[in-house]
Amino acid sequence: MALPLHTRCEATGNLPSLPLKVLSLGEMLEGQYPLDRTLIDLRENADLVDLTALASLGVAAVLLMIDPGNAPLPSLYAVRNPAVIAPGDVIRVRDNGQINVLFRRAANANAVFTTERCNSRCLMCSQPPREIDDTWRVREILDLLPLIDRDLQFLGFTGGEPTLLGSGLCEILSAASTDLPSTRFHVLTNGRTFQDSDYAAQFGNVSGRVTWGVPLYADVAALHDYVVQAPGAFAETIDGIYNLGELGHRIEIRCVVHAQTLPRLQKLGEFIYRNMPFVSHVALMGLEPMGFAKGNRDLLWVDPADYKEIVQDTAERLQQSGMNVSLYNMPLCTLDRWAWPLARQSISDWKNNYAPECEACEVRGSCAGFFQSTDATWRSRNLSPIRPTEVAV
Amino acid sequence: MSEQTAHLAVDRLFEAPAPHLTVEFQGGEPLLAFPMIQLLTRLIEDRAALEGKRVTFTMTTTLHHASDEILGFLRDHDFQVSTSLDGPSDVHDNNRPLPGASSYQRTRQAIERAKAVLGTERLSALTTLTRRSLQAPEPIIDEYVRLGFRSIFLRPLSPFGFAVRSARKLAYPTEEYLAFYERGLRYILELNRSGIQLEEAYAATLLRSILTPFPTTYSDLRSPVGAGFGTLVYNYDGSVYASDEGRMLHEMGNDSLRLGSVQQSYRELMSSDTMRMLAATGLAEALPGCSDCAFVPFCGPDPAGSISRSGDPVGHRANSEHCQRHIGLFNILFAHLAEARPEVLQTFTTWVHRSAPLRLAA
Repeated sequence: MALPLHTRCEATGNLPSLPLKVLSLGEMLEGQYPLDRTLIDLRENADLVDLTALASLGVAAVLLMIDPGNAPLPSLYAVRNPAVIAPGDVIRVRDNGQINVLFRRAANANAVFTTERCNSRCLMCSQPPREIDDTWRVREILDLLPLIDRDLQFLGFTGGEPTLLGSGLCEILSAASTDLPSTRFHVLTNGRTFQDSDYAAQFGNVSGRVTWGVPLYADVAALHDYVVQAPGAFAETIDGIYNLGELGHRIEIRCVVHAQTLPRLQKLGEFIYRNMPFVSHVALMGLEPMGFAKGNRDLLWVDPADYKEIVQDTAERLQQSGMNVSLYNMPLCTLDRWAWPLARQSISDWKNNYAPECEACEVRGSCAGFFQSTDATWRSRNLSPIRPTEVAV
Repeated sequence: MSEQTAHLAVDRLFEAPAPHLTVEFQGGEPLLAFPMIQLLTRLIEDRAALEGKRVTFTMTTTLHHASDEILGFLRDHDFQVSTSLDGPSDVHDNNRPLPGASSYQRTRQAIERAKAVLGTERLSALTTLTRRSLQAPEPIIDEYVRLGFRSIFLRPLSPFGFAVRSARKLAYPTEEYLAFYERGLRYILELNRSGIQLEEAYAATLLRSILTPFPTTYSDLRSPVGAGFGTLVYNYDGSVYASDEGRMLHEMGNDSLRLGSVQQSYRELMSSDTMRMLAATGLAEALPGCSDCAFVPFCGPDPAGSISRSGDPVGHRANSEHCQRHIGLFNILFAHLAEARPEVLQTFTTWVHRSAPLRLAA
């Protein structure tokens, strides 16, 4: 598990700066992807292939074990962590030899990173924003989308705040729905930009294809605004949710559970049911101790053992009211058994980990486990392996 | 009902804008006109398929005339069937005397036959509470449990039709009904606590207004008024009424809730003087005595009751049975909500959402 999304390599020749689809020789011959955008993985069969022939076919580059010397086409070799790249993946190679995996075929979840900018500063942000101009990403994503596996079920878009790309996000999602005709999309957004109903209306052509994951941290404006560190955010987000809802979009409400959100969590649950029963999913989420969350530990930390009752009660009420509810990032041993059906394996595999105690656990295979960043100081005192005898009902 | 009237009624039905229609057959005893029921069902199903609308059929019947052929028909066309069961034999026979026979026995047998063909999900029963019934709720409730019903509706006698003429013998003051209801509800909550699942339908309906964000579908408590805006009654003689009470008022010589006839278009019927009157007086939030009532978000106006009592659709809350009854019911339910006993709240939520909490379901 927890295979990183970055590594380094050596490179020769003039690599295109576009995202490249890694393909085996066999898959290349199927001809599904433009050859000038493919990187042929020859790490296991370099001696079988005539590189000159590949070059004349117009293949963008090859991936080798060692320096081929005088290769007739651009080559990558000596990948420091070879497992990071596999056929089917889409990668970007920087001039300095850094490789970023933009899409991983074998991953349990793939997310496209849209921008580092954000108009909120959430206390527990795991991906602290940067005020830089990274609109170049729109172009890169448009180049990436045609290289993603056509049969992909699910693709996420994250940030930063994706709507800060303005009509760029619209362009991305329109292209995605054309390039990936059967994929369902999920966009994480604070929803504030959708307070502008004209902006929301621009996404009419992807309604039904996209679920908008919108965080809501309290039923009262002051507390939500404090958590996201942005005055007026609550009103904008609520307006945004209604604008999207009115246009028939699928909406998911997300709430990260921590010391600030816990005291009003049950009231938030009732608020959601009373005021937006049309949302298709509510996720109550454990904390990811990354970014701002680490620095704000004193403001945020509650042992899951101490929030279990409130979280479970909130989830149960929502579920009984007919809402779809999930518990994300919550290990099964920190929940009562009756609540297990609501718990999901919600952590992307590249950052998913288990504790030493989990070795002996009978239900590890269906448990969310931990973020790689969840070290012992962020784990519950109730952490303990579930024994076989306890599983038998 | 003549065939021509039936065809016209179906035309009107499908001129209504609603995408999901509920068609209830009632009488008299609708099964005495079974061929007409068959004709209407076929006409409506064909038309619904053509217009892409969803239709649910329901019927209120004694079931006494329900042969296996009839029951099979009701099953095949997915009818929700509601029959009358007033309680154990002494109560039921007292309310529904049959010369030389026990209507209770006939109802029991009919219920068993109907259950065998329709299954328990499609069959429900309605109580009529007479003065005699009010002596004790427990035997009535026990009878429902014994027969395997999952819901009982402790509603008072309707002040209309036949019931008005027998008022002296059957009727009772609202306070007596409320005392009966409170005791009955308490008993039902006890049953639920002991594991017997029985819903009290009146409470479930009111609680659904109180505890969910959704407006009630119960016609008597809708605001704007359910009559005309949510329901229309097509009478066998081709008259169109805003509600069942409108038909009963007509029997008493009062046509205030008659919209017109099936020969007129839906548009014409809906812009009739009767509908204008209902639109002007059918919003509880704007009625004197209702507009500043704490319970108005969960309640509805009662133009039919006001017309029958005081001759005008607004009426006066001080002598409105509808108002006294519902204030009483809200007081009883809010007292339970304020008392907040966990097992009572759990039963209430189960009724409201028609699903058990996860930790009990597991």
